[in-house]
Amino acid sequence: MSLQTGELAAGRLPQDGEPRTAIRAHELRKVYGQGDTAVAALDGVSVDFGVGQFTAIMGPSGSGKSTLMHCLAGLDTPTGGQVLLGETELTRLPDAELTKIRRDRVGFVFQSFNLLPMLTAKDNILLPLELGNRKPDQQWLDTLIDVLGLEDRLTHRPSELSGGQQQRVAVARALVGRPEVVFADEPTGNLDSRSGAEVLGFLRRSVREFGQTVVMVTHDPLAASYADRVVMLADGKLAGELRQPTPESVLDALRQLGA
Amino acid sequence: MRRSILSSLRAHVGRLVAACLAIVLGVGFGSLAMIVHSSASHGVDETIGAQYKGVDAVVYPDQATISPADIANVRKLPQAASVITLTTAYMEVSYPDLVRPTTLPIDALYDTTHIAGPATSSGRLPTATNEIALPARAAAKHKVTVGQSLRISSYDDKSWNATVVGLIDDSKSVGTSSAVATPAAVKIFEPGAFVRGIAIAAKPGVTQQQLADAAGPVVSKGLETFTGAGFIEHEVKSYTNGIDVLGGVFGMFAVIALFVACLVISNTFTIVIAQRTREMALLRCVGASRRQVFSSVIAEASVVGVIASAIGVVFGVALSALGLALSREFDWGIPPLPLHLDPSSVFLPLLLGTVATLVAAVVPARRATKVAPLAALRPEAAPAAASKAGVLRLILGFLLLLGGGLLLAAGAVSHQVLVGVAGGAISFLGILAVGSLLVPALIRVIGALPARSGGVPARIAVANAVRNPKRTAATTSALLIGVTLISLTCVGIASVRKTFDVSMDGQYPVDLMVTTYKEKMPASAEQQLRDIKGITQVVPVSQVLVKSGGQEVQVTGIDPAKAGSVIHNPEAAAKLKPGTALLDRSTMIMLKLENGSPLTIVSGQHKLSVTAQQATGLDPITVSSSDLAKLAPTAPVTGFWLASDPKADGSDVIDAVDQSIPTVKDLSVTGGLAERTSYTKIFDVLLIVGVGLLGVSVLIALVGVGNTLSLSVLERTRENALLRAMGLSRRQLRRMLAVESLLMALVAAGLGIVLGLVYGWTGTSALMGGQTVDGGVEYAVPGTLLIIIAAVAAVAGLLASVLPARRAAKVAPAGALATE
Repeated sequence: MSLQTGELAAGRLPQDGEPRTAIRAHELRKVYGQGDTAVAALDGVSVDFGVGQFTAIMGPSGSGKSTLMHCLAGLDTPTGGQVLLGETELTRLPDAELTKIRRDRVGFVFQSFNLLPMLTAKDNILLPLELGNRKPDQQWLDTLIDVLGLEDRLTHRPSELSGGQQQRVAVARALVGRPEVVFADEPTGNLDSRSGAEVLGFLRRSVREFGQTVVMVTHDPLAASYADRVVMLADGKLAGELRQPTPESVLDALRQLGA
Repeated sequence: MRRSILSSLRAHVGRLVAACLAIVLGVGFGSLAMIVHSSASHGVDETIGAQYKGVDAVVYPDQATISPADIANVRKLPQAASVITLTTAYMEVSYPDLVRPTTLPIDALYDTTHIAGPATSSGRLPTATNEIALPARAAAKHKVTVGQSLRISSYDDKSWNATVVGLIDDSKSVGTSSAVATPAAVKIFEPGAFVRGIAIAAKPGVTQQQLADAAGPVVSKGLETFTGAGFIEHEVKSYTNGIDVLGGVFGMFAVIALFVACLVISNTFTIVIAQRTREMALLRCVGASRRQVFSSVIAEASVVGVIASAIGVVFGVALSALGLALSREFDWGIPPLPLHLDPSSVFLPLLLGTVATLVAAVVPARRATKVAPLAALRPEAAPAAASKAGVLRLILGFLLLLGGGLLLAAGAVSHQVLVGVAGGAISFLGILAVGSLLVPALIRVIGALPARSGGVPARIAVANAVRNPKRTAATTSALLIGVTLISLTCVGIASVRKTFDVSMDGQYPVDLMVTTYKEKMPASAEQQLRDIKGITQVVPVSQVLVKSGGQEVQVTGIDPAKAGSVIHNPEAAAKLKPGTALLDRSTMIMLKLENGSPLTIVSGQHKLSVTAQQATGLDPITVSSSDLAKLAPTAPVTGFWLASDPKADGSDVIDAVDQSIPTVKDLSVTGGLAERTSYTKIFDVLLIVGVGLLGVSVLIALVGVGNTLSLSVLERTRENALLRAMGLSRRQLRRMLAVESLLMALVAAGLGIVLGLVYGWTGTSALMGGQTVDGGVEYAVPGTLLIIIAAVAAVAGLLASVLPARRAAKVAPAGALATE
């Protein structure tokens, strides 16, 4: 419950009693531009995310939190350092391999829902599985649909759903393939507070009940308080972390960063 | 506003490039057609003008022929400085490379002090009666050189040896030219030589009109008198009628190409504007009026239209120059045409292209004015929600389709071409109007297979293809027009050709009939004919002259077992058996016979009784060889009936047969092949020209497909990024777009081919019904051609997706996460 600046040293091995690592960043660097105009969005970030943990990445605008997540998820290629998803080193994989990993081993929830407008809710949920020619686990699918309360909405198209419903479809889509990690990018950014709380509740439930690993980028202290752990980022560097956060402790930590 | 328009043009130049391409192609093609036409007309003007230089008036045979008295009267005219008679003798010449003589018109030379005459390219003009000058092209063809002696014969079997003293320069003349000889020689060759006309040159101070007015009254009635200029115009017309018809056809195709370009442009502008909704709304927010938004789009369109049309004209001029230069390389029997640019052939396409672009931009521009200023403040609106087709438009479309279909059917049944064409055009408009309903439905049908078996990318592709029915319909319409017209041309020509073939088989059932009447066929003749490339069957026939019913007729005997292989009319071939004689219609009438009448033929002591049957296109009386043997046991083989390979070049085969059996001096070669060859050539040329010209509009339409796709790709950047983030590989993404493009191309091709068949068949019925002997029309399905059309459309559809797909695959998967 306290701010422990700089405690996470590079290459630190997990110690007994700590959870196994689902995804790990090691000395991650991402530089945009060249020469004088070069800007380091990530400047040597090393961080581990444990299996079955709900981690929030926070930081002010421009702190590199989105870049970090893009690199972790294999959506962007870092300039230096490594990303390990389980045993797989992502940073040196060609695009085809990365595509496969995105399809089979990670899930995404976006701020603007990003459902395909021409597919029904059910087709949207099954999309990642079908892209990989995988059969859905019917029982798991039923559980998800039941938990997310989507039974009546399966044949609707996104334009016929409310924002909250769309984001619940997106959560179901992220979870349906039982990915190793689910990445959520400001999942409540476009939602009213009630729908937002619902979606965050689902994410937390998926961690508690189903052992899902979730990494979420947010700038909302309330959203971050749903996580087990908050990782702070400032100017492309790790600026500390928080365990068992509350909205107040997160706000405090953010204030200290700003100071 | 101007700055905003210019910067917008700069910003969107990439998106407009494809639209420009459609205009460039359409305008380029149009100016090509016009420039070639004007160059051809101009060339003919020049050539004929040069040929009649110095002629101020012409007396020309019309209802009557020119008599010596007419010539004498004209000579007495005080206004005439020079009067010459244009005389031609029609002779036969024995070229050393031909086994039998061929026709050669010989013109008489005349006084050329006032009026232009033939000039030689080598040697000199004849001065003595035993000298001639040959047209250079004919001399080259038959390898005759100056100094050589040729045998000239008249039709009444007199002959002379003449020395070739020069070659006439005919490199600039149209059609085949005559040889020339002195007037005295022409008089010897043919004392009553044909007078083509009297050309008169006026004395100084006398106008052409005064001269013609003076000449008119002194010549016989029924002769026509022209002024020199009037005559040149008259002559030019007789050549340029054909050119004008061709120009009209070219022009029509150019208009079709421009119309297709119009569709493509309109579609492109619609999409571009849909994507710029926010930009338009922002303009409105900062105080631009609806009018200003409208005129900014129109201004943009006019800049695009002028630039693209100008490029198109340059392109067309370059292409024309290239085409004319190429035509000089090939010997097409036409004089070389210099490139001739008149203002209309440059400015008309430029104007039409610009106007077409403006017209195409009006509807999108109106749509742009409807954007509410508030749209700029709203967060990212759902990109281009699926548009619903207007109900009114659909109803109108169905009415047009129904009415046009009925008219079309009426035209086909009543053989009224104009009614059929009107019906076709109206029903096609109907199809285009209901396209937004029809095309997506067809895409769903065709897409069902890939959607089921092709996995998610294919399913998304099908869904993408139908999500904006209007856009899809507009894109496919452009392609549909081209494919329909091409299939219509192919089906129509194949059907007309088949109708001709069947009708020819009835009228001229034998390809070639080789006969000698007075001479003996050598024993090797049959083998000589068999050795000719393109001859597949040779059946000997024997002919004797006999008396029947007091008249002398020719009776031909042929082995019935072999006759079927050379007689293309199975019915007639089957009737030919011992005991039956096949008679042509005129012989039936002459002998007062009917089908089934008994006929007795007598030759010396021999007598043959047979049953008469009518058959068209065979000899006057054709019997089986065993029957002929009863009549004339020793009848020699006097000729052969030949069948030729339909794939072989007919004129080559005829030439080869003409040149065969050199020991026989008087060989008659007749039969249906000559006619069949001439129309086969016409149909082949029509097919190539039609398909080639329409191909341009298909090309434009495919540019449109690529255009729509690439704009859709821009619109779907986020979606595609999302799919990539979800695990869609680059290859799958490219395949997705390929399937979408393929679906549109295939639906357009399929629908176009079906429409082409319907229009082609009804058109053939309207055109040919009632023209054939038995009124029957044959409907052909040019399967190979249609499959090629579909395959080309499919391949082109795939190609059209290549560039948009490359761009789509470049989208970074992280793009889906970026917030606007």
